[in-house]
Amino acid sequence: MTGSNSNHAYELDSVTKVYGSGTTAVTALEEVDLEIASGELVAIVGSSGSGKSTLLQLLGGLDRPSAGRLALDGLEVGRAGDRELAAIRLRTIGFVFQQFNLIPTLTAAENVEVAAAPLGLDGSRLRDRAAAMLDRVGLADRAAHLPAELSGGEQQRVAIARSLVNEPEVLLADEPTGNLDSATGEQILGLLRDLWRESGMTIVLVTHDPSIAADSPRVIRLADGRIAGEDREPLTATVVR
Amino acid sequence: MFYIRYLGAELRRRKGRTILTATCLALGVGLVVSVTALSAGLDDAQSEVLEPLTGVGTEMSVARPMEIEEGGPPPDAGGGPIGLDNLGKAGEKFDTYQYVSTDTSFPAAKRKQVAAVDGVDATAVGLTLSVAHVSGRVPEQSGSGAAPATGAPPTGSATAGGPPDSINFETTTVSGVDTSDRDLGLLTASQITDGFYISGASDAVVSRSYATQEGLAVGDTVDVGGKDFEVVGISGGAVGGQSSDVYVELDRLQELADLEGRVNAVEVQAASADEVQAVSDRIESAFPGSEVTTASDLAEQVSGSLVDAENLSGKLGTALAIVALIGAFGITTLVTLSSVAKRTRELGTLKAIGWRQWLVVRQVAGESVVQGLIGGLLGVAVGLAAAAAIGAAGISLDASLESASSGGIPGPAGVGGPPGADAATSVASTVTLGAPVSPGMALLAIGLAVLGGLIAGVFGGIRAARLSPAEALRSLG
Repeated sequence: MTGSNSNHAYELDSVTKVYGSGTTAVTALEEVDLEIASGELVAIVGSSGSGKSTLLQLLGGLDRPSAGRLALDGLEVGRAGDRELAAIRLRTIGFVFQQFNLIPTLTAAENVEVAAAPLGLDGSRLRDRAAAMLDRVGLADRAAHLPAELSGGEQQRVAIARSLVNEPEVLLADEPTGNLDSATGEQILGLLRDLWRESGMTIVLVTHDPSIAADSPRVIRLADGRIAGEDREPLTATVVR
Repeated sequence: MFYIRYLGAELRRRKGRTILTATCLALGVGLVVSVTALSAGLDDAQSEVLEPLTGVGTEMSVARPMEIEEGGPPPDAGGGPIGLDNLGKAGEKFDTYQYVSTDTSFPAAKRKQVAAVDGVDATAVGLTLSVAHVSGRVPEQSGSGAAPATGAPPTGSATAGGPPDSINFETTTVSGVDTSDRDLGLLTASQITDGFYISGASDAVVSRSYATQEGLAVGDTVDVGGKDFEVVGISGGAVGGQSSDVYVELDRLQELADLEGRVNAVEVQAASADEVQAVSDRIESAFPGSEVTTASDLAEQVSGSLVDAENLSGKLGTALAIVALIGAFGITTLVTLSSVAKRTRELGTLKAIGWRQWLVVRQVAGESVVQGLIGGLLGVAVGLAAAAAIGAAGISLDASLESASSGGIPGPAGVGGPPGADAATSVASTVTLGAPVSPGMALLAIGLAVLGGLIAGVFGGIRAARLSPAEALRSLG
């Protein structure tokens, strides 16, 4: 584990990810070199099968690279154990999924609490934190509703509140507007940008929507598991503030 | 605590799964409770049958069985053929009583020898005899003839082909009771269902079956050995070994049978119920030739539908309960595994947002254990309902026990039949089947259901633990 540059949230050096083995092996990512600075908002774009979701999973510590080096805040993910990765995901990373991935039996508030429960907070602090996060995403009045009783946009707001409840340094969003109509998608993207500007956290968005990418200060294009290009506007949340 | 709220929400909002799992466990556990309750009911029924036999506080009965050799009873056995020559001349009336038994009599003082055995708490002596009343006219005969004392026809050419019409046989089993201890002995005060216990030399207690057979009631008189006794009480529910038709004072029977100072049974109460078998062995060693009958020995001799039901409950019922329980555990495990498979996205998400593996496993196993607890409670309710239904059905079971009346007196020379030929009696009783459910049994049932939930939870938890968050999320697109 190394910490070569404290300004970099992520450092990827020749990262390769191969699924399967032998004749059935599929290379999802190949020799990816990438650095993402703390506080950056990065959009990763590419067609289906380009490797963008795989890259997001590696960045999120959900999987380990088959080869190469991937460091998050100096911690090499490939060498971290399961418990260490779980702790990173709990405290350092927030996830937003395309399908929202809310727990259907829990209310909106409980779906936010579920992310903070492993921190061992007492019941009232946990509830207060969840309420504050729901308030932040504009859903204070929907706290007691089950996911099935919420619209798609509301569900994604709950998912964003869940991803933020532990005040992570990095927020990873996988097609966050993929299941929403364009107007709702715009609202969600607006919310994410507002959060980015207010918190200064690093946000990595995976999307196939060029319009979303166009509004991002940095766009990384993936094709066939490799970085095919990059458009960079050196703006960070800090600069914006 | 959040995890408990989460658990509650899962069980409450996934009602179908919760109900299915709890119902499977409830049926399995309910069957176990029912079978166990039925078995307890059958045990109680057997105890009820044996209780009058063993008497209150009596755990053992000591006797000296007579050894019957080929060719007839020993000379001191009592009984044997009744010589017609001894009854008088042909055509003359006769009326005689014979006292016989399968057990050898011994001096009443032997009681002290038994009482001295380590582990014996109390003793009481008794004498039980078959009293054969033979009366009629002496038949014509071409040679020497004999009439058996105990119910078989007299022998001799005059009787070839069947008993002579002029001879009557009546056999009654009579016990002489040591009335000094009303809680121990051949007849205890607790056995009296009508009237009173024996308190005088002319008092008699008759068994309910004998009273019914002979049309006797309290206040009537009964003939024993040619003497009239007043029926002062009726003994109820007597089944088995020491059951007699009539009970009188020991001294009176000894006097009638010309057996002063002799008895043929010692009733023994052990100091500890756990020591019954050991005390039994010690008595047999200390008292050569004796045979000790314990309640458990008698239990083995019980026959009838009670025993059939016990066998059915013991074998088929237990097997059914085990199969049902295994089936319930299996279905619960499958439902849990299926639930884990359906919740792949949910469990993968939990891991993705930082839940450690053991937290996910604990959550899955916890849900399963609580489902087991619910199933257990429902199962106990099912079992209680089944037990109540069994009790309400009022199923009657019959029990019979082959018993031999005690005794052992040498009869007059040349008189008497084979002892035991009709001294052996089969006494029947009918008991109503119940199915008691004890708190311990209910707790055990709940424990079994929780165990079933735990087993399912462990399998489900292992499956959940093996989920890679990336694969779980990837597989669902």
